[in-house]
Amino acid sequence: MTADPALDASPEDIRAARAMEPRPLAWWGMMLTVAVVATIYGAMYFSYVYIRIGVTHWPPEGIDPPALGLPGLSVLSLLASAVAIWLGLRRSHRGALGAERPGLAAAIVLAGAHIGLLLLDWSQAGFGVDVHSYAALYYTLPTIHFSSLAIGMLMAAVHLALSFRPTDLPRRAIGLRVLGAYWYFLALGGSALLAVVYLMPHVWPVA
Amino acid sequence: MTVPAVASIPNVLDPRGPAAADIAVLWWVMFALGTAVFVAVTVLLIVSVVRRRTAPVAEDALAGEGFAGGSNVLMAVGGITLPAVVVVGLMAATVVTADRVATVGNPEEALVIDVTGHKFWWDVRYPDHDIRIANEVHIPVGQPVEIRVTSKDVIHSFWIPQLGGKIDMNPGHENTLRLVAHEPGAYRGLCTEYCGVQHARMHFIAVAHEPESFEEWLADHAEPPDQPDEEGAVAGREVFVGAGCAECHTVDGVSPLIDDYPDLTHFAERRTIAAGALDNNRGNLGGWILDPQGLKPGNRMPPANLTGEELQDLLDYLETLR
Amino acid sequence: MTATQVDLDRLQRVWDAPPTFRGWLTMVNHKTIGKRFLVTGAAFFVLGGVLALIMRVQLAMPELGLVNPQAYNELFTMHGVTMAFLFIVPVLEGFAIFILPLMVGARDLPFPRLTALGYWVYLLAGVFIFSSVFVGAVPDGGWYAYVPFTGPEFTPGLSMDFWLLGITFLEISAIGAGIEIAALLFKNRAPGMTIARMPIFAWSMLVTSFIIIFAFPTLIVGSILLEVERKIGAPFYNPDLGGNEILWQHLFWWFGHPDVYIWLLPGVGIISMIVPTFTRAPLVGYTWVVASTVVAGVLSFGVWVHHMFTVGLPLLTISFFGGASLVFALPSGVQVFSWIATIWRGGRVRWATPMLFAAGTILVFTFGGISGIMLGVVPFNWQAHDTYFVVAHFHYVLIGGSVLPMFAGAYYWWPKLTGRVLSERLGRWNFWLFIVGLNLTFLPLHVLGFLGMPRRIYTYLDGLGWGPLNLLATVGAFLTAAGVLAFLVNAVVSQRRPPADSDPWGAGTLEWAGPVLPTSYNFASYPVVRSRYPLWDQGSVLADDDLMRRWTDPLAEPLHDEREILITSEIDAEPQTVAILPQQSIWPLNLAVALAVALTGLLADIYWLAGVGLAGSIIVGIVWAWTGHDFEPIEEMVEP
Repeated sequence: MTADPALDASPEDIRAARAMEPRPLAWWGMMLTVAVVATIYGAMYFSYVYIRIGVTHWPPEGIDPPALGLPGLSVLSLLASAVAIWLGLRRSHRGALGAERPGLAAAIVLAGAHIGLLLLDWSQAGFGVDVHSYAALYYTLPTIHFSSLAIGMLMAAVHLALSFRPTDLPRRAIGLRVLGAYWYFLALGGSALLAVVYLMPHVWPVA
Repeated sequence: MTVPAVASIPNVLDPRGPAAADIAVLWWVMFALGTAVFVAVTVLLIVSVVRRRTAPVAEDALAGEGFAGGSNVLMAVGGITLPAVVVVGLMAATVVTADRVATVGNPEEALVIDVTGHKFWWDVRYPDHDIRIANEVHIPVGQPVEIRVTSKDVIHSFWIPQLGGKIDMNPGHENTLRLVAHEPGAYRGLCTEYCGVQHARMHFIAVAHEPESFEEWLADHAEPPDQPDEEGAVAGREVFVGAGCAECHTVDGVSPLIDDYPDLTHFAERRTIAAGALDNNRGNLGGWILDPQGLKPGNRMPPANLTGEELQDLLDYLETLR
Repeated sequence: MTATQVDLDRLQRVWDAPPTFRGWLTMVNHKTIGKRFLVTGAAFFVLGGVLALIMRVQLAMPELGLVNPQAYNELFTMHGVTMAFLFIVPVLEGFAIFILPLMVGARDLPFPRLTALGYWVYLLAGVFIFSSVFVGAVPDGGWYAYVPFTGPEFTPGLSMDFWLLGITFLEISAIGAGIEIAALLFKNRAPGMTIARMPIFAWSMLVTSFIIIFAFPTLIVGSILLEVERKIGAPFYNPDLGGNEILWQHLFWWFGHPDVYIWLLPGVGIISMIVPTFTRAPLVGYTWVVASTVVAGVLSFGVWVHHMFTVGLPLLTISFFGGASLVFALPSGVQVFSWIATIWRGGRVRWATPMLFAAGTILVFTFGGISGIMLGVVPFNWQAHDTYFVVAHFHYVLIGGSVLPMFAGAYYWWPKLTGRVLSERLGRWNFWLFIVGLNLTFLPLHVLGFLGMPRRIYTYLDGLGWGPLNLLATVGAFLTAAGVLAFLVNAVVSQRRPPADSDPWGAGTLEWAGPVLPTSYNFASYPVVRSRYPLWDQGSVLADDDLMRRWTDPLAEPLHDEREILITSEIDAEPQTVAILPQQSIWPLNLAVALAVALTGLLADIYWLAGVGLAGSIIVGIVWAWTGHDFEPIEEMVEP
């Protein structure tokens, strides 16, 4: 929305108007950052598929296709965390100070559960990271995803802390918006990554 | 040290096979085209500079984009149309030549040779003839050869410039290169994928024989060499075993088949030592055996601790390996 | 100047950095940081050049034996790494960071602390990579680091870890610059600078930013996978355990080919700024040139397999990529024709040094482009790949398309950087020594490729006929170095010359408005642009109607001593709002140091150190976010 100055608006009006504007710069920065992270995820999908098409056994002998229970819950947890962020942002638009707090807190907890559930699956997997490329991908690709998610969780924690300061909500709204954009992307990209790692051995095996 | 006279300079533009010949022709056509384009651009640049040389320096800048609509035509012709014509022509040349080069010769008649790259030597086997040699490839003139390559360690690349293009040797994969030589001779081949500290000295010799000569070569290599009867050579065989050479190097009838190091069964007929680095003569060989790290530091052959007499006996023995 | 409330002192107080050591450390201003990139990049250029000179001496004659094979392999690896990662991209970034806000009418880049972070990361990454020399573990796997050679089995030890961690670290700098430049060019152009009036160098940098964004991350992924394989044995690339070494090549070249367009497009954009100035004519075919820049950027992602024609991929696949590679002739042709057409149409050419280098670019780049088209023809590539023909080709396009334009840009924008003009006499020495040297060095290398000389060899046998041409190339290399020396002498000596005029070249674009040495705030009164060459076509670039003045007047007077920057719309550059930029900050340096500590810990397997670095990075990141200027309470923003 342009603060389109009507010809009789005074400089003071303009200053006031512009102080209320959301800051599009951070949004642009985040969109471009999401493009970078999307390329990282794309490279991960490619790496998995490329290795898969070059092997004679997938999963390799001695490793069963993975059980889907824990990973499924993990993905649901990730997606739920994105919903939590979204709900938090929606509440914050209504303007009450700290309205976004429950959403942010729930998102952090759910993201933590997403990571924890997958770590639990790993502890039961029964093979080490160095036995085969299948194992290497199994552990490493989600770890890269967790690192991206951890950055988001930190951002959410900062916003959670800031929500206790009597600062202007429109000014912080853009920060929450960009956090949301990042989180939604990670939820989709991460779910797709886990789908690749956990479903491919079932739907596209080779023996 | 000088290049062994046993092989020619690996000149891409001195082709000795149809694949390299096709590519050489393609090159000269592109060279002519490229020269024409470069000369045209240079001339245009010079003319556009010179034509206003005597004009006064402009005080005010010109307005608008210029050529009163002609600039679009100029860009369309010079920037798009002319390059597009050249590009389409080159695409056609690509498809035609690539197909000819890649499918040279009739596959039914092809002689199969397996070449495995190692750091820094070539393991060459003829699967249909049970022959194993190292650092040389022998082929018959006029007959297509199918070279199947892989690597035992890092990526290498197999290239005989005068016969055709190169193909990478990737560990865990197999690639195929089809070549034909149309003239007898010895051609230098090279590794063309950086493979480590002695990549520079990973050459081989490709020898193209007349068909009868090739049959002889095959027959000769199918049999192990006769055991030596001369005294020095017999002693040398003991040195070969006792000093540890036999732990790495295979000599049919004397030491077992060892994959990881060059086969020396018919070593006396090999033209070079150390993968194309030295003429195979007695003096060079003695120097190499005593100090391989001096010539080719970082290769996997350790120095040999031999007395002068042991060395002479060993050389006598190696000279019997025909 | 019209009567507005321009309070220059107040602007200066708000925007100037304090002249203290802390002020130097906390610098966020784009002009200073741009200069730091340029100076550091120039130092790496000299270093990379010295490495090349040593290589050329070793190759001057057969079996010379001056440099042992391991040292030689480290030399060619570090020459490539230094030039590709520590010189070309940072210097081009430096030009962009310095000149783009001035050129498009902004007061700074939109994320100043990110700019500062980019520089500190670059500096520390360069130090990190070169510290391998002091540890005796210099990378020796080539700048492109093919596996399995660079994997744990064949390169144990730390050398490749320096490469992997160092370059991944460095990429943060490039990606940050890419994001920031794109944001600047979308949102911070001066009012009236519609997308169709944006200077060509800005277009080049916009496309380059997108290439950075979509290319660099794949190298990050490939590098992470290789580092994980090296450290804990996860076999991504090991064919014995289900891995695939060709995966590295795909990931690397998906990054690597667009990377060379990151090197090329900015240089080409610089020439498109210089040729109009010295012919006093607008660039012919602006729209064509913009289109060809965008096409080149997109196309750069569709050709990476042309580095892999001999890998053994199916003929159909490589024919497609070969054909796509040939298509590059079209955008290149458009660009070269545009320059020539501009000269044709323009007035008498004024042969100042920038124009000399521009003419050199046109010819050298065309020559290199032609050999590139030849390499795109698949069967010819099967002969030329991995020989000195390729070395010749890429040095021609790199030097023609990046280095000559860097010299051109340096001479052109030197008044903006230092307030002085470089000596014309020394400039001519620089140019002629360099261009004769470059041709003497690289022209013979084409022939050496035909004589069968492979790349990356530390010596060669006598009698192969490779000696005389190598000797010629070595002589040329020293001549080229003399040209570079002339530039360095020029740079030092010219500081004693008198200050330059405000617009010494009579150029038409916005960076030349105002005093020759820009103030810290670039523009007191925001300029308003109505053409592609505002200084030629407009009497004044100040706002002249009430609508615009309602934006530009308040911006001339910093409210509450803050750094204000105007935000405009993406296509039509209509003023939308004002953003407040952060002031001096120590957090970028702190974050760069914390990351470097973490990476050092990872490199050396000192886990507590890595942990300290990681914790430090997290803490600094939180403080960075917390001290973001956006969080001041609103009631203090509006004047009562």
